[in-house]
Amino acid sequence: MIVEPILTRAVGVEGGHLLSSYLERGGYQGLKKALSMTPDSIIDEVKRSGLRGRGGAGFPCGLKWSFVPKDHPKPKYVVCNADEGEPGTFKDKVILECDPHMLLEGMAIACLSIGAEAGYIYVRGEFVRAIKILEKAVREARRDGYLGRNVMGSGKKIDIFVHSGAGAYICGEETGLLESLAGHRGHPRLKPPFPAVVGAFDSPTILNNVETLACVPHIITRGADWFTSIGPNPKNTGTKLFAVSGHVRKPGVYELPMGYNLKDLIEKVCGGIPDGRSIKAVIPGGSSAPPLKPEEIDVSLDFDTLAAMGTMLGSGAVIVVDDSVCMVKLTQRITRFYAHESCGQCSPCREGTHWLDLIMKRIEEGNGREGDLELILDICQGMMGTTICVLSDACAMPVKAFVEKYRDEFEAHISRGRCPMRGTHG
Amino acid sequence: MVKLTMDGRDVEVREGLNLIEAARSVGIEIPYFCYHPGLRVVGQCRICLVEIEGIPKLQAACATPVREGMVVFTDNDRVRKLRSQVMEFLLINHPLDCPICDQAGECDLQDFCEAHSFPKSRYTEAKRVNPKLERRKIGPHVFQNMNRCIHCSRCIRFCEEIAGTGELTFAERGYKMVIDTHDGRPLENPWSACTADICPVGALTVYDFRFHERSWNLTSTPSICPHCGNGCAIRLEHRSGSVKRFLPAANPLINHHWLCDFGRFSYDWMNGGDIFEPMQGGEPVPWTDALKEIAGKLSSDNRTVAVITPFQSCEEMALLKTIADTVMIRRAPGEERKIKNEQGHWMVSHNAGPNTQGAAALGISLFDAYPADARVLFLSENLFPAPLTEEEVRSIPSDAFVIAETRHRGPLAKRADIVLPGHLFHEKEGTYLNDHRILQHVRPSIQPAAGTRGLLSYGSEILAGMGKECPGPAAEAIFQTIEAFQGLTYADLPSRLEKIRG
Amino acid sequence: MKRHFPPEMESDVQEIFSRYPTREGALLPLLHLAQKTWSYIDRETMDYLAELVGIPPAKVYGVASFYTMYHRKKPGKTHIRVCTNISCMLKGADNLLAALETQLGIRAGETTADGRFSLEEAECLGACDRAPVFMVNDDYEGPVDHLLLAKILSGEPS
Repeated sequence: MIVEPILTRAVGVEGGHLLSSYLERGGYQGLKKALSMTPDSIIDEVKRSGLRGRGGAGFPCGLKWSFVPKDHPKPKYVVCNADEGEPGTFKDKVILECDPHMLLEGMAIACLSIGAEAGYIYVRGEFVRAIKILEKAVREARRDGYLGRNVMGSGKKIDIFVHSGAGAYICGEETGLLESLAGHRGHPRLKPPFPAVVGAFDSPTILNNVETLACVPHIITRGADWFTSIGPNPKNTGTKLFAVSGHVRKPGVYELPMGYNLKDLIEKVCGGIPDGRSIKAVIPGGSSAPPLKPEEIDVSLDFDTLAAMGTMLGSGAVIVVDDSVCMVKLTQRITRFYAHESCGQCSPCREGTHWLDLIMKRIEEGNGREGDLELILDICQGMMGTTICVLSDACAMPVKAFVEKYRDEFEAHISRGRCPMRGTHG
Repeated sequence: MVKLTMDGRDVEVREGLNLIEAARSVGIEIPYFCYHPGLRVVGQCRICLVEIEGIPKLQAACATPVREGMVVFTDNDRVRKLRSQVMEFLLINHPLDCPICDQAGECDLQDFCEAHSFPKSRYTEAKRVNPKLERRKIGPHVFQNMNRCIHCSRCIRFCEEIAGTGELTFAERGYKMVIDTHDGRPLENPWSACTADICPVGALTVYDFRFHERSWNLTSTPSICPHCGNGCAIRLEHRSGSVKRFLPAANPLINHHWLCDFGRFSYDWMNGGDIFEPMQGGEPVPWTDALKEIAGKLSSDNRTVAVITPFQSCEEMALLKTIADTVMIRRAPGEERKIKNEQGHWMVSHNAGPNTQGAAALGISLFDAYPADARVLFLSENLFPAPLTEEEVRSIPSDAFVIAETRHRGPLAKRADIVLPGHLFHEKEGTYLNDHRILQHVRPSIQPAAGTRGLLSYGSEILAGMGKECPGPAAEAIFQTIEAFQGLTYADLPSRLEKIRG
Repeated sequence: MKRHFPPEMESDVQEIFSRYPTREGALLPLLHLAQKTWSYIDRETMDYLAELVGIPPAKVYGVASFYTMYHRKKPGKTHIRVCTNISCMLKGADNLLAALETQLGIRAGETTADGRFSLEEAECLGACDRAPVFMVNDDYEGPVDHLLLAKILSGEPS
């Protein structure tokens, strides 16, 4: 199914990030329409569209918005999660750098739906270029009345501030982000209460990923029915940005209908595997997603199909790994990442990520022992469902899956005392 | 009240409690490290996870308020497995320091390990170490062994929420995370030793107590701290007749769970004193002789004036009022001391002594000068904050007959005609009215030193010798003669909720 | 040496404070501003920001030490971050890092003696289609090969 792009229209367009270009594309028509809608009808439209969070969790967006209490003494906020730190993910950056006004418009509409007058875009600190582009877009929007004290002449006040992170993956976790926004260490909070009730600065907050918010203006202008017409079923709707990297000829960000076939994505859209190699593993949704073996990739890239297979769509970050790669080394890179990024609050995560990394390093260096694999699996089990946030699960799930699906490689490292592919990596 | 089911039992608990407190109120113990009733909930350690019917993931009991109809499992296979896993995670980097760690015997980690036979550790990697923070004084009263830390963050929260000084912080991230001050600054707020109290392991310990005693060798008795007029609840811990340390006890009205460093560490005087028998003219005399002499002097027409310290109990003050013609109190002013109560209000005292208000309630006026016609003086002094100075003793009228209650061979004992070694604060039973008019009943913590006698006992004998009636020597009997406390008995007071109207 | 933002930066500082409903909310951007001004965050800077924001110095220390982008030691004039996470690893990042370490004579986490270069091994920088990816000061470079590496080390624009 060929679907016209909505999120990537400005990619490759000279000056596409400018307000003038956005207006030419029909920009801010969604905001104009939303200004004439009631907050409830905005939320209803988003609900009906079936839009699900594109940051990783896939939670129904409209439902999340409806959790914000109507009457509340504190001011409300809309926060955009642009912390894009999941390894393999680079699709939000495309929106931030190429079509920033689309995000601003989505946030403004979200503000209207809950009566918020301020929004924050939390951008990971490394995205210096994106931050500059966003700040310029905000200045343009303020200058021309799309943001500010009198949005599009409606008398409504909406302003958006760009906030730079400073290098911490855990600040992509929604409550870690909110803590960081408030000037603290990014330690995730206990939930409940959820950000809808106690969010930014302890006030009711809508918090969504860049891509999710970027879909909103399109849903409002073209209607929920149009959005649901894209995708395999009413629970997996709209287009999705897939960020493909690793061993493919044409890595990049591709906007395709939700439910696009993974095998087709790799072979047809991304040109397949170069250098005469074959697929050994595909990570379908960022490093937290358990890998798929070559025989498992003929599947629909949607939230529910992948969840049913024991993995996840996550952020839609597809990493393709060919048969030159040692799975043990790959798994150790994953444990090293989570050990670095654990905030350190909870015992299972703080101790477990590091313990897994130490064992993985030993196995990779050829010093694995009998019983190590059972130990790894048991540690993973103790790290799942036991912590304040899911970074712990995000480490345990893929590690468990790699050990289970590629067990012979791990066992070979241990029994031979070296990597069967090329000697020790140490 | 809220009805719920815990471990198959239908129970009813107070509304608003979290599951840890709710369980405790019906006799079920849920383990916890990061939770503390005096600090905000963070739910970090994960040891208190329990199963709640209808919720797939295990929930932190500390962060879950009770709800009508909740069905909770605190001890099924799933919860036990989780506890075993969390304990393993906590122990993999925990040094096996128990034989040299002060916390042994009062260590939450040790206690919980001991109560459950966890399987042998499977950790064979190198344990994490923090050389810079491993064995150092982090403040004047607190010693840090960072390797033992289980990152519960109680110490950080205490400094933020209770002390308000915020010297401690997490630094770095993940498995490298440590607890530290900024830039080598000391942990130096007025309640710094509380961080060692609340540290569930030996990562923060009291420097003054380091390597002194094993906790299990100490006898722990409930008392109040007498070093200012707040009267914070304490446990006075002693061994072989010596006070070894103070620990805070819980009193929501006054000090919640806290104790200031000044009050905590000022007890040395309790182990002091060098007079253990009555003296007359510098020579030891038996009690009977001394008391007969005193009774005789008081029976005649001599005007007797007693000048006492705020370390006298209400009962002692009441008894003295029947013995002496006039009783006055020498106030012991002190620096401002404050402590936070459960409501979060500061309880402030400027008195160095527990019973300044008690004197006021009994109509005892402040001492200002010795009345010119005082022929007999009963003077008491206390080793804390300080005994009477040479100058103060010189101002005693030279023709007065001085009876001194003291345990200190100092200027007063030298001047006195008769010296009576009375009981120190921790050796007697009595009531004390704190600066906020909360009346507290205190029992003796240590057997009085041999040869000494309390005022209620020798005072009753003096009264008998004068041919006067005496309600004593039992403390409660005297208590019930006090007009300001009419209607109260000692049994009313242990709840510590008695506030005496002005 | 007591730190203080120069007077000409006062409006920037006020603008930062105006974005947030609490003073503490300004801490992360102020740390970035301090780093831009003085190239790294030292003890004096933390004390200064603590006073400016109105929080204990320990809190600033806790925040500055949590995030990897705040340098607490003076970085080189050119700070190179080398991503070695999955996609970049698949494209040979480990070899590039080793080459850099050899050519500069330092390990990741260190600065050259002449202060020109500092090296950092980084987690995913979010540009995986251009793997292997470097950040050279504020700029993204990628895909990095040995030619580009040589250009970066010689200071040529790419």
